[in-house]
Amino acid sequence: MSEVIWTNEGPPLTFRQRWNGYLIIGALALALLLGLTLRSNTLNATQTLENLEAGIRAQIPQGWLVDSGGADYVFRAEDPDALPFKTLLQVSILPVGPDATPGNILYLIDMQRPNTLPAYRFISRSQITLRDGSPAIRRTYAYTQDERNPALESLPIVVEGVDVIVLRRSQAVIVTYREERSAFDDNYYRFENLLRTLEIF
Amino acid sequence: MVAKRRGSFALLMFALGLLSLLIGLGLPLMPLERGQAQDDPTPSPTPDSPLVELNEDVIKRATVFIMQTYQGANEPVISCVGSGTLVSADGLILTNAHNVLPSERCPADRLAIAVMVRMDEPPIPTYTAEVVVASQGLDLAMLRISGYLDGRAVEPGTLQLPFVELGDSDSARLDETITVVGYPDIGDEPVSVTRGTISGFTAEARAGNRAWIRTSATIPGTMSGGGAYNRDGKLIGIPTISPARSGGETVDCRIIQDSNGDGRADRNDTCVPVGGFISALRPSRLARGLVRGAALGTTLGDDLTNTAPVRSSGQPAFRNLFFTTRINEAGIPASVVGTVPAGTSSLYLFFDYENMVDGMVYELRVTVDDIHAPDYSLPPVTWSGGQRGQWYIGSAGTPWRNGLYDFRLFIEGREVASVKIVVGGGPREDPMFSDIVFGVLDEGGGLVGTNYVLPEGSAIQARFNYRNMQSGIPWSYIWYYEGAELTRDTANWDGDAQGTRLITAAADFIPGQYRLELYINNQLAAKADFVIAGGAEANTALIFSDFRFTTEQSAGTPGVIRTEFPTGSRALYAFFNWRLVAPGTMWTRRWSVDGDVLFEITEPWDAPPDGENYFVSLDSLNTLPDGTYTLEILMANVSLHRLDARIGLGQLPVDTFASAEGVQMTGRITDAETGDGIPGALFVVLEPEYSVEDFLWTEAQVLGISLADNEGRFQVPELLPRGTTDEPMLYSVLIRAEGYIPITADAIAVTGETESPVELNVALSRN
Repeated sequence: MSEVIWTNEGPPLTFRQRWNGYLIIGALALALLLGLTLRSNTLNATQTLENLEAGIRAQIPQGWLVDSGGADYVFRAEDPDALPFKTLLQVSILPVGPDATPGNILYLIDMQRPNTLPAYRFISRSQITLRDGSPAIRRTYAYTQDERNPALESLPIVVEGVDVIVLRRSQAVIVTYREERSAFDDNYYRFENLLRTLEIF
Repeated sequence: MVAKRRGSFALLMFALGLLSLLIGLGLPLMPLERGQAQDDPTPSPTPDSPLVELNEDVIKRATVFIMQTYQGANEPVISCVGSGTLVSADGLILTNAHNVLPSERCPADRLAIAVMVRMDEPPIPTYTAEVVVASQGLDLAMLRISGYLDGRAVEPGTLQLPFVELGDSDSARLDETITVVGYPDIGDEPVSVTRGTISGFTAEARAGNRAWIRTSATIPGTMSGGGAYNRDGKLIGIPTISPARSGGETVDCRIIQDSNGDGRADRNDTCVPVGGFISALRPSRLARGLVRGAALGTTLGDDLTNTAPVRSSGQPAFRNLFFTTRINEAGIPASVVGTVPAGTSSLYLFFDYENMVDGMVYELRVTVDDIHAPDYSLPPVTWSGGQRGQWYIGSAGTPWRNGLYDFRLFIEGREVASVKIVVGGGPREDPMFSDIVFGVLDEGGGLVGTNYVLPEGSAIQARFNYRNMQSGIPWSYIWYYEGAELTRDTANWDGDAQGTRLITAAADFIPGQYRLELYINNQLAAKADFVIAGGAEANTALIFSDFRFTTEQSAGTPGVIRTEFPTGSRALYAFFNWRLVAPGTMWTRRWSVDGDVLFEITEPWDAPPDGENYFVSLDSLNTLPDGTYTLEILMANVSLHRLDARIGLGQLPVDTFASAEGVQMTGRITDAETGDGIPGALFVVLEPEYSVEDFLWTEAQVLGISLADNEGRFQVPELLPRGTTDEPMLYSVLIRAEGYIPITADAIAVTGETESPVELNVALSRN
């Protein structure tokens, strides 16, 4: 009976072979990084929206459906691909009196919203400071989005929203983000981007 | 091995969860507090210790923010704001009338109610409400929460809101600590708790010596309509500021929104009055009838005439100001004083008024030696005396320090009258008249039927006391009928120095309002009003007769006459005949149930002088609850008739007025591993007679259920009735959530000393 002894010892790699290996790994890593960067840039590409009359400039995701002609908002951007709810970013302006406080504005919003958003419900309220040092109020809420057309079959969607309200002279600037409840946290960074790039002038 | 470890871990978590539950339950029941109480049965408050022993948590949660709103060009517009207090679990709110009644200054088509959701945050607009009953004069109103802001109606019986109970404002004492709760601004601050003391009481005609409670607490104007609480946590007063007026003096009126839709928020837009400070509280005694009426669903029904008071076009005025130190039960001043000695503890300013309207704002400003004296003043408040008559403001039981007092009266910010009086010096021995009463002479020459309501005739006599009189002093008397002089006489005093005297007027006393003024040395010394109405019967005035109760009427004709009615009656009518009542004579009708006053209306008689089948009525939203209903008729503060009618069992159901007393159970249910709240976790409290072992999952065994919210927080809406220290109420609880090991606990004791709320933090372990 013969005994076969198998070993994985081979001839040692040459200097060239070793560095070829390193270069391949490096190239793959670079390609991966490049791919991720390209993907990230594509996904997070932004466009700048500016309304000189309202004095608002901000960046929103590129490719989103933008509406700048609303009566009660400066602009509204919706993600056309999002399912089942079109993620919404919005900046609106409310003329307010010289004595108004952010808390007053919240009350005005709270009185109006239940009439337009079904099952509107307040969730939380907190004080925040914007990048430029402006004090603001952040409030979250929820409501249900329902298909108005009875011929279409759909279930109501629970939408979570957040408003950041900041007073600027005789205006209240209201920055809004709304998203379907389960995707709210995942896409919250888009709202943070909007806030970070928001300029009120 | 791994399974064993997991088992041990789960067991550990279960033990920890149970331990935290027991600790949570045990903390409020720690014997340390009882021990302290036994050591020092009458602990005196120190500056660092809480001055009040009340459940601030429930009181804060029962305090709501009220906004009068109307639909503007683009959005709802807030016109006026105030505070209010929930007085029943189903959403009855007690507040000021001016907070809820629309006016030129506060246009409104909707009342929005903001309630506290989190203790440290401003309230959240949640409900809409309707006015159930309001008294502009008292400036008090009852609201009922009727819907949500999105327009959905609140189904009756579905609300389980925290609420407070009314206390006995008559037992409040000078310098007693009170806690005032309300909202200090519009949506920026959480509910505010302000402590202060009772600095005095202000008397007013019709409401008596405690028409107002005065306080040293600093109370912002938006807390008007909130609550002032005694040490037991009972509501004894309603902070009240005068209503804002168009063009009137408003300390702070905030423009917060573009109400006219022109794209700008400026002076052309509605501003919200928020200024001023409150120093006067309406006593809860004056609100009790409104609260009871609203809770029972009863309203003041039709009467025969149903005429609205005629608003006079004349200028409102106060005149004939004088002071007295004493008033009798009928509200008649004992005498007229020009100065009062040092140490005086009661002083009242009387005056006649005309062309007034309930809800007008009037004010008394008092200075002592030219320094403003807020304790003796009455801040701007609403008028409640009707169009004309005699009124008084003053205070009893409060020391009046020495000095020259200047009393200035204002109507709607305009000064209309003033008078001065000196307080100081020793008792004077000046001649004086006092204590006028009226009556008719009997056959023996004695005065009988002494009263301030007398029958028509010519034999009306007045009796008064005199003191320190000297022979030869000129004195006189003047009789008035409806403000016009009827007769007068002047003479020199020829009697003793002290005693009683009778005088009469050579006149026919026809029905109407009369007055007698007595003068000494041409100085007014005493004054009294009386009413002539009805015919003489046994020396008294018989005005109203043939009282009948019925539950239905048709065209002024009563239905079946009875005094006992079956359950289910919707209205109760009282019919009666009358004679010799001059139109304009003030009369009062007071409806009570089981001894508690529901409605009291004082108004001028608006029917012909004689007639039959005058009726007044009590109505209801559904049916009148079982009870003994009493109608009392008064004239000139004299009770003339008091009649009872029974409905059903003749007494209110025992649980008609739910008690706010009890312990609230609240807390958080979390995952023992992550510490995150468990949304939807179930917390069940069983009725005290059941233990967990007896629980068969039937509703009848459940006292209260709460589902945890997104953060795991829960709050059992029902309050847990208390037991006593010797016989505590024992409760069982169950906590369940899918995927977690349930926790149960028996024999959770709730005694009279258990603090509320009981905060439970429960950690559930995954199974």
